[in-house]
Amino acid sequence: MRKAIRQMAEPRAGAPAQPRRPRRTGRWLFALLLLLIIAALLPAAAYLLAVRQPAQAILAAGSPEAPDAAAPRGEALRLILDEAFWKARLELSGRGAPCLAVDLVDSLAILEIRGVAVRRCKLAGIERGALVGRRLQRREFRERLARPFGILSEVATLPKEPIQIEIAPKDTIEAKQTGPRKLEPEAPDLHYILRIDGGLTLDLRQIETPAAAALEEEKRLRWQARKDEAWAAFTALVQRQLPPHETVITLRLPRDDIKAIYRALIPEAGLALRL
Amino acid sequence: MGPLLRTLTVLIAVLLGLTAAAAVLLWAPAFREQMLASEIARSAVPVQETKESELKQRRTRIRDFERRHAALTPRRSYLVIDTPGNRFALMDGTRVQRAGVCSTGSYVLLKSNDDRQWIFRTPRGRYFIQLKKTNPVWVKPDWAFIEEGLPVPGPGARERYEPNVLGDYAMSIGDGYLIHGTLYQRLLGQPVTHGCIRMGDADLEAIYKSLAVGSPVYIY
Repeated sequence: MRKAIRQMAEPRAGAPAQPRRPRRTGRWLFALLLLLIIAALLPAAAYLLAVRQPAQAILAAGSPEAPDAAAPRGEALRLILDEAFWKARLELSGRGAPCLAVDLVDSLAILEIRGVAVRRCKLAGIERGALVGRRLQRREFRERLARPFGILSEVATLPKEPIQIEIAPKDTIEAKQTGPRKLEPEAPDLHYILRIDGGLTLDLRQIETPAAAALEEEKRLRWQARKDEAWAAFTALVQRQLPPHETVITLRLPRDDIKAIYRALIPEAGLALRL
Repeated sequence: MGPLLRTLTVLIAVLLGLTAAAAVLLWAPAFREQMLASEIARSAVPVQETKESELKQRRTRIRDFERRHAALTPRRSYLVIDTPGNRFALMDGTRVQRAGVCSTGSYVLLKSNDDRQWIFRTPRGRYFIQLKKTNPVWVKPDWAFIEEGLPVPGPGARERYEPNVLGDYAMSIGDGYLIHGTLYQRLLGQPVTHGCIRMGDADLEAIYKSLAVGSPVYIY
Protein backbone atom coordinates (compact mmCIF):
# COMPACT_ATOMS: atom_id res chain seq x y z
CA MET A 1 0.00 0.00 0.00
CA ARG A 2 2.74 2.42 1.05
CA LYS A 3 4.67 1.64 -2.13
CA ALA A 4 1.61 2.33 -4.24
CA ILE A 5 1.15 5.75 -2.67
CA ARG A 6 4.83 6.69 -3.22
CA GLN A 7 4.49 5.66 -6.84
CA MET A 8 1.49 7.92 -7.27
CA ALA A 9 3.25 10.90 -5.68
CA GLU A 10 6.51 10.70 -7.55
CA PRO A 11 6.52 11.47 -11.26
CA ARG A 12 7.24 8.54 -13.33
CA ALA A 13 10.66 8.39 -14.83
CA GLY A 14 10.57 9.51 -18.45
CA ALA A 15 7.20 11.33 -18.11
CA PRO A 16 7.17 15.02 -19.35
CA ALA A 17 7.53 17.62 -16.49
CA GLN A 18 4.36 19.63 -15.65
CA PRO A 19 4.87 23.47 -16.15
CA ARG A 20 4.94 25.19 -12.75
CA ARG A 21 2.21 27.82 -12.18
CA PRO A 22 3.75 31.25 -11.48
CA ARG A 23 3.24 32.66 -7.95
CA ARG A 24 0.69 35.57 -7.92
CA THR A 25 1.83 37.25 -4.67
CA GLY A 26 4.36 39.46 -6.48
CA ARG A 27 1.82 40.88 -8.86
CA TRP A 28 -0.66 41.59 -6.09
CA LEU A 29 2.03 43.36 -4.14
CA PHE A 30 2.87 45.43 -7.21
CA ALA A 31 -0.79 46.35 -7.69
CA LEU A 32 -1.10 47.32 -4.04
CA LEU A 33 2.03 49.45 -4.28
CA LEU A 34 0.67 51.16 -7.37
CA LEU A 35 -2.62 51.80 -5.61
CA LEU A 36 -0.87 53.30 -2.61
CA ILE A 37 1.36 55.51 -4.77
CA ILE A 38 -1.59 56.90 -6.74
CA ALA A 39 -3.70 57.29 -3.61
CA ALA A 40 -0.88 59.26 -1.99
CA LEU A 41 0.06 61.28 -5.06
CA LEU A 42 -3.36 62.84 -5.62
CA PRO A 43 -3.79 64.23 -2.08
CA ALA A 44 -0.23 65.50 -2.31
CA ALA A 45 -1.14 67.24 -5.55
CA ALA A 46 -4.26 68.62 -3.87
CA TYR A 47 -2.14 69.87 -0.98
CA LEU A 48 0.23 71.57 -3.35
CA LEU A 49 -2.61 73.17 -5.25
CA ALA A 50 -4.87 74.17 -2.37
CA VAL A 51 -2.37 74.93 0.35
CA ARG A 52 1.23 75.27 -0.79
CA GLN A 53 0.63 77.43 -3.84
CA PRO A 54 -1.81 79.84 -2.13
CA ALA A 55 0.60 80.09 0.80
CA GLN A 56 3.44 80.98 -1.54
CA ALA A 57 1.21 83.47 -3.32
CA ILE A 58 0.39 85.09 0.03
CA LEU A 59 4.03 85.26 1.03
CA ALA A 60 5.39 86.38 -2.34
CA ALA A 61 6.81 89.89 -2.26
CA GLY A 62 4.66 92.35 -4.15
CA SER A 63 1.50 90.27 -3.89
CA PRO A 64 -1.55 92.11 -2.50
CA GLU A 65 -1.71 89.56 0.32
CA ALA A 66 1.97 89.75 1.22
CA PRO A 67 2.62 90.22 4.95
CA ASP A 68 3.78 93.57 6.26
CA ALA A 69 7.43 93.93 7.15
CA ALA A 70 6.35 94.43 10.78
CA ALA A 71 2.97 94.33 12.51
CA PRO A 72 1.66 95.72 15.81
CA ARG A 73 0.98 93.28 18.62
CA GLY A 74 -0.54 93.33 22.09
CA GLU A 75 -2.16 96.54 23.27
CA ALA A 76 -1.21 98.49 20.15
CA LEU A 77 -3.09 96.00 17.97
CA ARG A 78 -6.01 95.88 20.41
CA LEU A 79 -6.40 99.68 20.26
CA ILE A 80 -6.22 99.72 16.45
CA LEU A 81 -8.97 97.09 16.26
CA ASP A 82 -11.13 98.88 18.85
CA GLU A 83 -10.82 102.17 17.02
CA ALA A 84 -11.69 100.50 13.71
CA PHE A 85 -14.77 98.90 15.27
CA TRP A 86 -16.13 102.15 16.71
CA LYS A 87 -15.38 104.00 13.50
CA ALA A 88 -17.32 101.42 11.46
CA ARG A 89 -20.18 101.45 13.97
CA LEU A 90 -20.45 105.22 13.77
CA GLU A 91 -20.52 105.06 9.98
CA LEU A 92 -23.25 102.42 10.16
CA SER A 93 -25.37 104.70 12.34
CA GLY A 94 -25.89 106.90 9.29
CA ARG A 95 -27.75 104.11 7.50
CA GLY A 96 -31.49 103.63 7.76
CA ALA A 97 -31.43 99.84 7.63
CA PRO A 98 -30.83 97.66 10.71
CA CYS A 99 -27.11 96.84 11.00
CA LEU A 100 -25.07 94.31 12.92
CA ALA A 101 -22.08 94.94 15.16
CA VAL A 102 -20.23 91.74 16.03
CA ASP A 103 -17.99 92.20 19.04
CA LEU A 104 -15.85 89.10 19.51
CA VAL A 105 -13.99 90.68 22.43
CA ASP A 106 -17.14 91.12 24.56
CA SER A 107 -18.89 88.11 22.93
CA LEU A 108 -21.82 90.17 21.67
CA ALA A 109 -23.77 90.55 18.45
CA ILE A 110 -25.63 93.86 18.54
CA LEU A 111 -28.44 94.72 16.18
CA GLU A 112 -28.56 98.47 15.69
CA ILE A 113 -30.82 100.97 14.00
CA ARG A 114 -29.32 104.43 13.53
CA GLY A 115 -26.75 103.67 16.20
CA VAL A 116 -29.32 102.55 18.78
CA ALA A 117 -28.83 99.02 20.06
CA VAL A 118 -32.22 97.35 19.62
CA ARG A 119 -31.09 93.85 20.47
CA ARG A 120 -28.02 92.55 22.26
CA CYS A 121 -27.29 88.88 21.63
CA LYS A 122 -24.82 87.11 23.88
CA LEU A 123 -22.52 84.82 21.92
CA ALA A 124 -22.32 81.43 23.59
CA GLY A 125 -19.41 80.32 21.44
CA ILE A 126 -16.95 81.78 18.95
CA GLU A 127 -14.66 79.88 16.58
CA ARG A 128 -12.29 82.05 14.60
CA GLY A 129 -10.83 80.84 11.35
CA ALA A 130 -7.16 79.95 11.49
CA LEU A 131 -6.25 82.82 9.16
CA VAL A 132 -7.81 85.61 11.24
CA GLY A 133 -4.63 86.20 13.25
CA ARG A 134 -2.53 86.30 10.12
CA ARG A 135 -4.86 88.68 8.34
CA LEU A 136 -4.72 91.07 11.28
CA GLN A 137 -1.01 91.48 10.58
CA ARG A 138 -1.86 93.15 7.33
CA ARG A 139 -2.36 96.89 7.36
CA GLU A 140 -4.96 96.73 4.55
CA PHE A 141 -7.12 94.34 6.53
CA ARG A 142 -6.85 96.39 9.71
CA GLU A 143 -7.84 99.47 7.74
CA ARG A 144 -10.68 97.52 6.13
CA LEU A 145 -12.12 96.84 9.59
CA ALA A 146 -12.64 100.58 10.06
CA ARG A 147 -15.26 100.58 7.29
CA PRO A 148 -18.60 98.75 7.42
CA PHE A 149 -18.71 95.38 5.67
CA GLY A 150 -21.40 94.74 3.08
CA ILE A 151 -23.44 91.58 2.63
CA LEU A 152 -22.46 89.54 -0.44
CA SER A 153 -24.77 86.57 -0.03
CA GLU A 154 -26.59 84.58 2.60
CA VAL A 155 -28.02 81.11 2.97
CA ALA A 156 -30.38 79.93 5.69
CA THR A 157 -32.64 77.03 6.55
CA LEU A 158 -35.70 79.34 6.70
CA PRO A 159 -37.02 81.77 4.08
CA LYS A 160 -36.11 85.43 4.56
CA GLU A 161 -39.77 86.41 4.72
CA PRO A 162 -42.40 83.79 5.65
CA ILE A 163 -44.83 84.92 2.96
CA GLN A 164 -48.13 83.06 2.61
CA ILE A 165 -50.19 83.72 -0.50
CA GLU A 166 -53.94 84.17 -0.08
CA ILE A 167 -56.45 84.63 -2.88
CA ALA A 168 -59.28 86.97 -1.91
CA PRO A 169 -62.77 85.38 -1.79
CA LYS A 170 -65.16 86.29 -4.58
CA ASP A 171 -68.04 87.07 -2.22
CA THR A 172 -69.15 86.84 1.41
CA ILE A 173 -70.39 83.25 0.96
CA GLU A 174 -66.93 82.10 -0.11
CA ALA A 175 -65.37 84.17 2.68
CA LYS A 176 -67.59 82.43 5.26
CA GLN A 177 -66.73 79.02 3.81
CA THR A 178 -63.02 79.76 4.02
CA GLY A 179 -63.33 80.83 7.66
CA PRO A 180 -60.73 82.74 9.66
CA ARG A 181 -57.16 82.88 8.44
CA LYS A 182 -55.02 79.95 9.59
CA LEU A 183 -51.36 80.80 9.90
CA GLU A 184 -48.85 78.03 9.48
CA PRO A 185 -46.48 77.96 12.46
CA GLU A 186 -42.89 78.44 11.38
CA ALA A 187 -40.16 75.92 12.19
CA PRO A 188 -38.18 77.29 15.13
CA ASP A 189 -34.71 76.06 14.09
CA LEU A 190 -32.38 78.18 12.02
CA HIS A 191 -28.86 77.93 10.65
CA TYR A 192 -27.63 81.06 8.90
CA ILE A 193 -24.46 81.59 6.86
CA LEU A 194 -23.63 85.14 5.94
CA ARG A 195 -20.92 85.99 3.41
CA ILE A 196 -19.58 89.48 3.70
CA ASP A 197 -16.94 91.33 1.74
CA GLY A 198 -13.32 91.32 2.82
CA GLY A 199 -13.17 87.53 2.41
CA LEU A 200 -15.11 86.80 5.59
CA THR A 201 -17.95 84.42 6.31
CA LEU A 202 -20.07 84.44 9.45
CA ASP A 203 -21.59 81.07 10.30
CA LEU A 204 -24.39 81.55 12.84
CA ARG A 205 -25.37 78.32 14.58
CA GLN A 206 -28.03 77.85 17.20
CA ILE A 207 -27.11 76.50 20.62
CA GLU A 208 -30.35 74.50 20.90
CA THR A 209 -30.42 70.99 19.45
CA PRO A 210 -32.41 71.20 16.22
CA ALA A 211 -35.35 68.94 15.42
CA ALA A 212 -34.81 66.00 13.04
CA ALA A 213 -36.39 67.84 10.10
CA ALA A 214 -34.23 70.88 10.77
CA LEU A 215 -31.14 68.68 10.85
CA GLU A 216 -31.98 67.44 7.38
CA GLU A 217 -32.40 71.02 6.19
CA GLU A 218 -29.12 71.95 7.85
CA LYS A 219 -27.39 69.09 6.06
CA ARG A 220 -28.76 70.40 2.79
CA LEU A 221 -27.57 73.89 3.63
CA ARG A 222 -24.08 72.73 4.55
CA TRP A 223 -23.91 70.66 1.39
CA GLN A 224 -24.94 73.71 -0.63
CA ALA A 225 -22.49 75.99 1.16
CA ARG A 226 -19.63 73.54 0.74
CA LYS A 227 -20.46 72.99 -2.89
CA ASP A 228 -20.44 76.74 -3.51
CA GLU A 229 -17.23 77.16 -1.57
CA ALA A 230 -15.57 74.22 -3.31
CA TRP A 231 -16.53 75.58 -6.69
CA ALA A 232 -15.27 79.04 -5.80
CA ALA A 233 -12.01 77.53 -4.50
CA PHE A 234 -11.62 75.37 -7.59
CA THR A 235 -12.27 78.28 -9.98
CA ALA A 236 -9.83 80.49 -8.11
CA LEU A 237 -7.15 77.81 -8.07
CA VAL A 238 -7.53 77.19 -11.78
CA GLN A 239 -6.99 80.91 -12.33
CA ARG A 240 -3.98 80.71 -10.02
CA GLN A 241 -5.61 82.98 -7.46
CA LEU A 242 -6.22 82.61 -3.76
CA PRO A 243 -9.43 80.75 -2.91
CA PRO A 244 -11.99 83.29 -1.61
CA HIS A 245 -13.68 83.28 1.81
CA GLU A 246 -10.80 81.62 3.56
CA THR A 247 -11.78 83.13 6.89
CA VAL A 248 -14.84 81.69 8.58
CA ILE A 249 -16.02 82.92 11.98
CA THR A 250 -18.52 80.60 13.63
CA LEU A 251 -20.85 82.15 16.18
CA ARG A 252 -23.10 80.12 18.47
CA LEU A 253 -26.15 81.84 19.90
CA PRO A 254 -29.83 81.21 20.73
CA ARG A 255 -32.02 80.57 17.68
CA ASP A 256 -34.34 83.49 18.49
CA ASP A 257 -31.35 85.80 18.26
CA ILE A 258 -30.26 84.25 14.95
CA LYS A 259 -33.79 84.67 13.60
CA ALA A 260 -33.92 88.31 14.68
CA ILE A 261 -30.58 89.00 12.99
CA TYR A 262 -31.48 87.05 9.85
CA ARG A 263 -34.83 88.73 9.41
CA ALA A 264 -33.49 92.19 10.19
CA LEU A 265 -30.54 92.23 7.81
CA ILE A 266 -31.43 93.36 4.31
CA PRO A 267 -28.95 93.62 1.40
CA GLU A 268 -28.31 97.32 2.21
CA ALA A 269 -27.41 96.44 5.79
CA GLY A 270 -23.83 96.68 6.99
CA LEU A 271 -21.66 95.01 9.58
CA ALA A 272 -18.96 96.16 11.95
CA LEU A 273 -16.48 93.65 13.37
CA ARG A 274 -14.37 93.77 16.49
CA LEU A 275 -11.88 90.95 16.15
CA MET B 1 -3.00 39.26 -13.27
CA GLY B 2 -5.38 39.84 -16.14
CA PRO B 3 -5.64 43.21 -17.89
CA LEU B 4 -9.15 43.69 -16.51
CA LEU B 5 -8.00 43.23 -12.95
CA ARG B 6 -5.08 45.58 -13.55
CA THR B 7 -7.33 48.30 -14.96
CA LEU B 8 -9.70 47.83 -12.04
CA THR B 9 -6.88 48.24 -9.54
CA VAL B 10 -5.71 51.45 -11.18
CA LEU B 11 -9.28 52.74 -11.26
CA ILE B 12 -9.79 52.00 -7.57
CA ALA B 13 -6.53 53.73 -6.78
CA VAL B 14 -7.49 56.81 -8.78
CA LEU B 15 -10.88 56.87 -7.06
CA LEU B 16 -9.26 56.60 -3.64
CA GLY B 17 -6.86 59.38 -4.44
CA LEU B 18 -9.58 61.58 -5.85
CA THR B 19 -11.69 61.04 -2.73
CA ALA B 20 -8.81 62.05 -0.52
CA ALA B 21 -8.08 65.06 -2.72
CA ALA B 22 -11.73 66.07 -2.65
CA ALA B 23 -11.71 65.74 1.12
CA VAL B 24 -8.92 68.28 1.29
CA LEU B 25 -10.22 70.59 -1.40
CA LEU B 26 -13.94 70.38 -0.98
CA TRP B 27 -15.20 68.94 2.26
CA ALA B 28 -12.69 70.24 4.72
CA PRO B 29 -12.41 74.00 4.13
CA ALA B 30 -11.56 74.54 7.80
CA PHE B 31 -8.80 71.95 7.55
CA ARG B 32 -7.53 73.61 4.39
CA GLU B 33 -7.53 76.96 6.16
CA GLN B 34 -5.71 75.45 9.13
CA MET B 35 -3.06 73.99 6.86
CA LEU B 36 -2.73 77.23 4.95
CA ALA B 37 -2.33 79.14 8.21
CA SER B 38 0.37 76.80 9.49
CA GLU B 39 2.12 76.99 6.12
CA ILE B 40 2.16 80.78 6.29
CA ALA B 41 3.06 80.85 9.98
CA ARG B 42 6.54 79.63 9.10
CA SER B 43 7.44 83.15 8.06
CA ALA B 44 7.23 85.19 11.25
CA VAL B 45 6.41 88.89 11.05
CA PRO B 46 8.47 91.08 13.40
CA VAL B 47 6.65 93.16 15.99
CA GLN B 48 6.16 96.80 15.05
CA GLU B 49 7.11 99.17 17.84
CA THR B 50 4.43 101.70 18.79
CA LYS B 51 5.17 104.88 20.72
CA GLU B 52 3.29 105.51 23.98
CA SER B 53 2.10 108.89 22.66
CA GLU B 54 0.49 107.16 19.69
CA LEU B 55 -1.30 104.71 21.99
CA LYS B 56 -2.53 107.63 24.09
CA GLN B 57 -3.92 109.39 21.02
CA ARG B 58 -5.68 106.23 19.98
CA ARG B 59 -7.25 105.79 23.42
CA THR B 60 -8.56 109.36 23.27
CA ARG B 61 -10.03 108.79 19.82
CA ILE B 62 -11.76 105.58 20.96
CA ARG B 63 -13.30 107.38 23.96
CA ASP B 64 -14.55 110.08 21.59
CA PHE B 65 -16.10 107.51 19.23
CA GLU B 66 -17.78 105.75 22.16
CA ARG B 67 -19.19 109.04 23.43
CA ARG B 68 -20.50 109.99 19.99
CA HIS B 69 -22.08 106.57 19.56
CA ALA B 70 -23.72 106.65 23.00
CA ALA B 71 -25.18 110.07 22.18
CA LEU B 72 -27.24 108.46 19.42
CA THR B 73 -29.44 106.64 21.96
CA PRO B 74 -32.45 108.85 22.75
CA ARG B 75 -32.57 110.32 26.25
CA ARG B 76 -36.38 110.28 26.34
CA SER B 77 -38.66 107.25 26.07
CA TYR B 78 -38.71 105.28 22.88
CA LEU B 79 -40.21 102.04 21.66
CA VAL B 80 -38.46 98.97 20.20
CA ILE B 81 -40.48 96.40 18.25
CA ASP B 82 -39.12 92.91 17.60
CA THR B 83 -41.15 91.63 14.62
CA PRO B 84 -39.79 88.03 14.47
CA GLY B 85 -40.46 87.59 18.18
CA ASN B 86 -43.62 89.76 18.29
CA ARG B 87 -42.39 91.55 21.38
CA PHE B 88 -41.95 95.15 22.39
CA ALA B 89 -39.73 97.05 24.81
CA LEU B 90 -40.50 100.51 26.06
CA MET B 91 -37.09 102.03 26.72
CA ASP B 92 -35.77 104.93 28.69
CA GLY B 93 -32.21 105.46 27.50
CA THR B 94 -30.65 102.01 27.91
CA ARG B 95 -33.12 101.00 30.65
CA VAL B 96 -36.14 98.80 29.87
CA GLN B 97 -39.24 100.48 31.30
CA ARG B 98 -41.71 97.86 30.20
CA ALA B 99 -41.60 94.82 27.94
CA GLY B 100 -44.13 92.34 26.67
CA VAL B 101 -45.86 90.77 23.70
CA CYS B 102 -47.44 92.49 20.74
CA SER B 103 -48.58 91.42 17.27
CA THR B 104 -47.01 92.43 14.00
CA GLY B 105 -47.49 91.75 10.27
CA SER B 106 -48.62 88.30 9.17
CA TYR B 107 -46.64 88.26 5.89
CA VAL B 108 -49.81 87.26 4.07
CA LEU B 109 -49.80 88.26 0.43
CA LEU B 110 -53.44 88.99 -0.45
CA LYS B 111 -54.33 88.84 -4.12
CA SER B 112 -57.61 90.39 -5.20
CA ASN B 113 -59.70 89.32 -8.18
CA ASP B 114 -58.91 92.59 -9.96
CA ASP B 115 -55.14 91.93 -9.96
CA ARG B 116 -54.32 94.08 -6.98
CA GLN B 117 -52.21 92.75 -4.15
CA TRP B 118 -51.12 93.70 -0.65
CA ILE B 119 -48.44 92.26 1.58
CA PHE B 120 -49.17 92.53 5.28
CA ARG B 121 -45.73 93.21 6.72
CA THR B 122 -44.62 95.62 9.42
CA PRO B 123 -42.03 98.03 8.08
CA ARG B 124 -38.54 98.02 9.62
CA GLY B 125 -36.31 100.90 10.58
CA ARG B 126 -36.66 104.07 12.61
CA TYR B 127 -40.03 105.81 12.71
CA PHE B 128 -41.48 108.59 14.80
CA ILE B 129 -44.82 109.01 16.53
CA GLN B 130 -46.65 111.40 14.23
CA LEU B 131 -50.10 111.48 15.77
CA LYS B 132 -51.75 110.36 19.03
CA LYS B 133 -55.46 109.64 19.33
CA THR B 134 -57.85 108.44 22.02
CA ASN B 135 -60.90 106.32 21.09
CA PRO B 136 -59.67 105.96 17.51
CA VAL B 137 -61.97 105.04 14.66
CA TRP B 138 -60.64 102.66 12.05
CA VAL B 139 -60.91 103.94 8.49
CA LYS B 140 -61.04 100.66 6.62
CA PRO B 141 -58.82 100.48 3.55
CA ASP B 142 -59.80 98.56 0.37
CA TRP B 143 -58.15 95.29 1.44
CA ALA B 144 -60.36 95.10 4.55
CA PHE B 145 -63.40 94.71 2.26
CA ILE B 146 -61.66 92.54 -0.31
CA GLU B 147 -60.48 89.94 2.20
CA GLU B 148 -64.08 89.59 3.45
CA GLY B 149 -65.47 89.25 -0.06
CA LEU B 150 -67.35 92.56 0.24
CA PRO B 151 -67.71 95.20 -2.46
CA VAL B 152 -65.30 98.09 -1.98
CA PRO B 153 -67.19 101.32 -1.13
CA GLY B 154 -66.14 104.72 -2.40
CA PRO B 155 -63.74 106.93 -0.47
CA GLY B 156 -65.39 108.55 2.55
CA ALA B 157 -68.30 106.08 2.52
CA ARG B 158 -69.92 105.40 5.91
CA GLU B 159 -69.01 101.67 5.79
CA ARG B 160 -65.36 102.56 5.91
CA TYR B 161 -65.57 103.95 9.45
CA GLU B 162 -65.52 101.38 12.23
CA PRO B 163 -65.27 102.51 15.86
CA ASN B 164 -64.30 100.41 18.91
CA VAL B 165 -61.93 97.99 17.15
CA LEU B 166 -58.57 99.73 17.68
CA GLY B 167 -58.71 99.88 21.48
CA ASP B 168 -58.63 103.04 23.58
CA TYR B 169 -55.56 104.60 21.98
CA ALA B 170 -53.78 104.75 18.65
CA MET B 171 -50.46 106.26 17.59
CA SER B 172 -49.56 106.78 13.96
CA ILE B 173 -46.00 106.16 12.77
CA GLY B 174 -46.73 107.22 9.18
CA ASP B 175 -47.58 105.49 5.88
CA GLY B 176 -50.89 104.32 7.38
CA TYR B 177 -49.24 102.21 10.09
CA LEU B 178 -50.59 102.47 13.63
CA ILE B 179 -49.75 101.23 17.09
CA HIS B 180 -53.15 100.36 18.51
CA GLY B 181 -55.17 98.00 20.72
CA THR B 182 -57.14 94.92 19.74
CA LEU B 183 -60.28 92.97 20.45
CA TYR B 184 -58.33 89.73 19.95
CA GLN B 185 -56.07 89.80 23.00
CA ARG B 186 -55.48 86.03 22.80
CA LEU B 187 -53.65 86.49 19.49
CA LEU B 188 -51.04 88.79 21.01
CA GLY B 189 -47.55 87.41 20.48
CA GLN B 190 -48.47 86.06 17.04
CA PRO B 191 -47.86 87.59 13.61
CA VAL B 192 -51.48 88.28 12.65
CA THR B 193 -51.80 91.94 11.74
CA HIS B 194 -52.03 93.74 8.43
CA GLY B 195 -48.81 95.61 9.19
CA CYS B 196 -49.89 97.64 12.23
CA ILE B 197 -48.58 96.92 15.72
CA ARG B 198 -51.22 95.59 18.09
CA MET B 199 -50.79 95.90 21.84
CA GLY B 200 -52.54 94.62 24.95
CA ASP B 201 -54.73 97.22 26.71
CA ALA B 202 -52.45 97.89 29.69
CA ASP B 203 -49.29 98.00 27.56
CA LEU B 204 -50.96 100.32 25.06
CA GLU B 205 -51.95 102.74 27.79
CA ALA B 206 -48.42 102.76 29.27
CA ILE B 207 -46.88 103.36 25.84
CA TYR B 208 -49.41 106.05 24.97
CA LYS B 209 -48.61 107.89 28.18
CA SER B 210 -44.83 107.51 27.84
CA LEU B 211 -44.37 108.45 24.19
CA ALA B 212 -44.88 111.94 22.88
CA VAL B 213 -45.36 113.06 19.30
CA GLY B 214 -41.85 112.86 17.81
CA SER B 215 -40.72 109.95 19.99
CA PRO B 216 -38.77 107.36 17.99
CA VAL B 217 -40.01 103.83 17.31
CA TYR B 218 -37.36 101.32 16.24
CA ILE B 219 -38.67 98.29 14.39
CA TYR B 220 -36.53 95.30 13.43
